[in-house]
Amino acid sequence: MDILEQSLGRVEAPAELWDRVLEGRSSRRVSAPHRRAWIAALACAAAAMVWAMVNTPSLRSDDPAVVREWVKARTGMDVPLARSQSVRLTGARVVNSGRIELAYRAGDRAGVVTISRIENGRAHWGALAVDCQAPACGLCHS
Amino acid sequence: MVLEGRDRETIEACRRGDRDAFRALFESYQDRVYSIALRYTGDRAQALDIAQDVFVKLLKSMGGFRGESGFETWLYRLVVNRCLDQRRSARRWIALVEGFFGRSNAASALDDLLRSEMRERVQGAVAMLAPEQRIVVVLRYTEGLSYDEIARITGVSPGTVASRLNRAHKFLEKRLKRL
Repeated sequence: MDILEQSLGRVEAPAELWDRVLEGRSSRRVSAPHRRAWIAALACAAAAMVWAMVNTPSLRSDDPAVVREWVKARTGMDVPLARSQSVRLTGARVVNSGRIELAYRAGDRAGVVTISRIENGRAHWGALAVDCQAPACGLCHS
Repeated sequence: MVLEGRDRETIEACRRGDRDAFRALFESYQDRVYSIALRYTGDRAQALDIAQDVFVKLLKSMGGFRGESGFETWLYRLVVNRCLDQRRSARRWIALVEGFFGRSNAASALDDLLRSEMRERVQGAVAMLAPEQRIVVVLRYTEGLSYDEIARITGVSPGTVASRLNRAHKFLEKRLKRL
């Protein structure tokens, strides 16, 4: 097994070892290039979140007419909102051009209902698909 | 592995927190610690991490060394345990030309090339050994330790050391028979 002795012999430790021992850094510490990559990725993610928040229109209002106009102006969707005894509209948010979210309160419960556009054959506003939760029905239906 | 008087004094000084003594101890043992780590992992960066961890731990735990087993045995145990803790998934065996060429007195570039290729193949084969066999091979061939010394360090019987070495030899012979 001379070949093992020749191939697995002792080597000199790198000069940087002493500095690293003095630093006492954990071996699992992220290296500088990795750290920079993480910081850049986090910065991008934070910027994307801020951009999404700034560029996602939202409205706080309990007036169905105001919300209806606001939604129509931004998406072309004419949602027949109406005042209701049992449920109170509190705001709206445009998710994308074909989807909005309406926030409401029913008694002491808060909720959000999503309304999506369903295109008919002529590519016009045709119908509303509502993730219907019982209290939210009162936003449009009496 | 009996400590000489000077080493004994150095270790005593380290235990009292003498930084210069620790530097002297580091200078004495850094190549051994690094070499074991390098031969075990096959990766310079991982070997540096292991060696660093071992000396940091040594610095912190010198006070706990009671001299019952001998300093070198104690230090080897720190290195071996740290090597065995190294995650298997992190194993990477890459060409380890640096460090060898500096020592080589080969007459020609061809000699260097052949030696380098041989070492790579040997280290690649060693990397395929199970960790408990690999560490025994490293202690035997990098440090030249006896079966008894390896047994004390790894906490198994000399018979187990012999058995692991035997199995490792058979495996390596198969892998390296063309060399």
